[in-house]
Amino acid sequence: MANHSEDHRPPDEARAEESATASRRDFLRKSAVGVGAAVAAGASSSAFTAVEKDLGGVSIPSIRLASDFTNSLAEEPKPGTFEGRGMSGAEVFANLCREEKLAALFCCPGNYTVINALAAAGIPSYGGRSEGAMCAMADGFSRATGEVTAASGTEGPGFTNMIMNIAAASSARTPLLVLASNMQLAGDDREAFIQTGYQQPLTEGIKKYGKRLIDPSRVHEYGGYAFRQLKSGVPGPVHLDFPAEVARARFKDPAELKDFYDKSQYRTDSRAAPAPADLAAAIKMIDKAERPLIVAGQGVFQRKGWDALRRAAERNQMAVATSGPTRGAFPDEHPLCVMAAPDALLSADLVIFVGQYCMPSPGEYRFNPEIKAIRVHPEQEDLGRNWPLDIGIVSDEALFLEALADAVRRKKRAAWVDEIAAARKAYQKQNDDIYELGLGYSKQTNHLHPAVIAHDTQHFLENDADDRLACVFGGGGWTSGLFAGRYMRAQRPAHMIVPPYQYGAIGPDMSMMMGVSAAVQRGVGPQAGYEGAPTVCITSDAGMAYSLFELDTAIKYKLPTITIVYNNNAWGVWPNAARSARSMHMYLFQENLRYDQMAEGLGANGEYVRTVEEFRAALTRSYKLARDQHVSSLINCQALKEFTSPRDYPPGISLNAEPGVGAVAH
Amino acid sequence: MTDHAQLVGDILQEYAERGIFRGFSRAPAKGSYRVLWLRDQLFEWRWNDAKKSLRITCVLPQVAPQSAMYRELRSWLKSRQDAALPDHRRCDAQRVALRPYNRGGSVALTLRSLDGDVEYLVRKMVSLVNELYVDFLSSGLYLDWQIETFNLDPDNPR
Repeated sequence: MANHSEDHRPPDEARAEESATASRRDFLRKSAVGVGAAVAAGASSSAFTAVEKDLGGVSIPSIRLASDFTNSLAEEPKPGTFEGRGMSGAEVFANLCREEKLAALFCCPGNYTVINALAAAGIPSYGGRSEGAMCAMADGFSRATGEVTAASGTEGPGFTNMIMNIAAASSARTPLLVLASNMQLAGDDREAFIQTGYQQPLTEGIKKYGKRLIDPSRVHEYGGYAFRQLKSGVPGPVHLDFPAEVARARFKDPAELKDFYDKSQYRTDSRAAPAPADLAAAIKMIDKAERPLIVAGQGVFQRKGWDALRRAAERNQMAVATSGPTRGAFPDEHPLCVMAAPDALLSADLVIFVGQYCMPSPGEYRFNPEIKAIRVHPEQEDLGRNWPLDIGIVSDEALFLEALADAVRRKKRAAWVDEIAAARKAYQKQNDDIYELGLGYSKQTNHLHPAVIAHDTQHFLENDADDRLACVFGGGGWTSGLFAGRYMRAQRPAHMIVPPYQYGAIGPDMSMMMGVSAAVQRGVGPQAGYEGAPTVCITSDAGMAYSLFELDTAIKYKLPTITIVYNNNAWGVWPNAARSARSMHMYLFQENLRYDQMAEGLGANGEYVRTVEEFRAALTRSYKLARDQHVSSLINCQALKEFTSPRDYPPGISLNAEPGVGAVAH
Repeated sequence: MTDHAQLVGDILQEYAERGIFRGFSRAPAKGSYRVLWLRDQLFEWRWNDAKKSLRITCVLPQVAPQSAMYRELRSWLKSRQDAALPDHRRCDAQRVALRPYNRGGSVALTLRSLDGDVEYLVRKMVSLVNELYVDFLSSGLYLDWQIETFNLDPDNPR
């Protein structure tokens, strides 16, 4: 079927394909400039769809970036100093954040003194359309890098808008610094003017640490409290709220600030190494095991323990599964990887959980009841929670894996490796069969089945992209997320993130991937070497209500995102209304909504597709636009809600095995 | 002479002590046990000393005897004795006879020892039922069935 949106397509000149395929080097060279320079000195201040139109005599000006925007991004940092007017409390805090290498700030206006001070101090800063989505972006940036990021909103409404995504960050153990201003302490309980609210109780249960700052002279001291929590042990959100008396206080001399000293004195990078007796006991158990399996959780990524993980696994031929909100610490394609070999999980006789922050209970992981368990965790008090231990080891994850790799004996486990290979082959066949069914359903209905979207996206990134590793992928939504999990693969650290991890929020995926895109654009942490590479997000129409408007933000900052929307006209959970006739209306949207046109209205490239061929062509165009022009695209894949149903289109949807490629719970 | 009923109970209790079962008790009648386990269901286990068999009276509820699901289940159970499976996964047909029964939709599962190794029998039963829940029921065909049958939260259907 022809593209339904021909009249709304971007101009041909913008679509022009490069005659030669750009090499990764070209691609990186083009992307090597910093974001400020990229936008300020970039090719155009006009948005992708920028065409001045004349409709019925009414001239409609093109979408474009304001010169104030590009000029502002090109400004040099100007951190506060004690000289002259002195430093505000916000500037003292901002300078501490700079010393702590706060990776980025995502915000909407509000908390003005603090966000202005952070931007002036040189913290990479992004402003967007809703605090909730910006909080998800901060979370995404952190998931892709392991670094501390900040989100900020104004006193009451902006702060409360962030709540869902603070909770998502908490479930994912993201080191997220939540900043929000508060009204004056002097106005407490007076309900003076607007936006008064006491914030700290609202983040109860979804933060690691929180504080309303009260004494201006302790602003640096509490900055230290915040970063000690963010950078020690198991990470999690830290929530600081700044009343005006603190943010606007002025300091002309260091002596006016309490505990105003270097970070080396208020926190330490020292880490616990495994006790020799514990390590010996673990190695003895590994020696006895025939089919050992390491579950490398978020802690392995957070502590950058991937090289040690690989060394330990290969030395003793232990199988590996990765878990957590960031994937790829061990390549899915490695012969020892069981991520896409769910049947092998049931054969493991020893599991070594390393840095598994979000701990499942027996029965939630696809393990045999006979399995023995070792758990390695940086905090003693969590050992034994949910999963009974055979051995518990208090240790930093990377230090444990390094010690294990040095001490474990070399061993070949040919039968185990063969079993993993057979299980991988069986899973591949299962997925191929579902894909073939999906292809048939797509042709039969002239609507795109989610298996086709997920499979063909992975196929494109694996085979047709310039460099299969130069991309970060994330999948969310209910039906779309479950199918994406089956087909997408991670082959390098932070190659993939899992937006719905643990909390299961529908909606932040698209924004979260924009935060990932900012991290890739800057080449932070494991994204170094992939500067400017596109990100790809498969998500659902339900999620559009939460994130779509942030395309404006992606376009402004030239974040090359590709969002693939599985548009089935409904909340994915619509089958829950199947036996409740009067409820169904609450689960449905208008049919055939044009998210592609909305994207174009926001300055992005919009694509509308219903067939496999149209989808592949749209993905190719979108990739080239992202790669060559840093333009974001949204591909609206028109689908049918009935694809979810096993009665109408078997096998319907199924939950993916955990741990494994599609795992979202633990 | 070995007290097999006691042995079966001891083995099951070990699973409870390792956190695999969430609850366990020995019923007053010898050879009867109650286990709180998968999907928070209470499973009744019965050891028949004369037949050297162990039965779970309802391993899956609400499966119509003539249904495709029951046919698939029987086929899946048969596949667990396939000689192609590795030893550690196979329910060895030389050592154990495996049989499902369907009484009004309640599927019972019986394992009978052919070689007198009761510990093997009990451990295979535990593995088999675990796999039934994490493997057989993982098909998308049974997701809605599980939500309905076990009264699960559709947003958390495990």
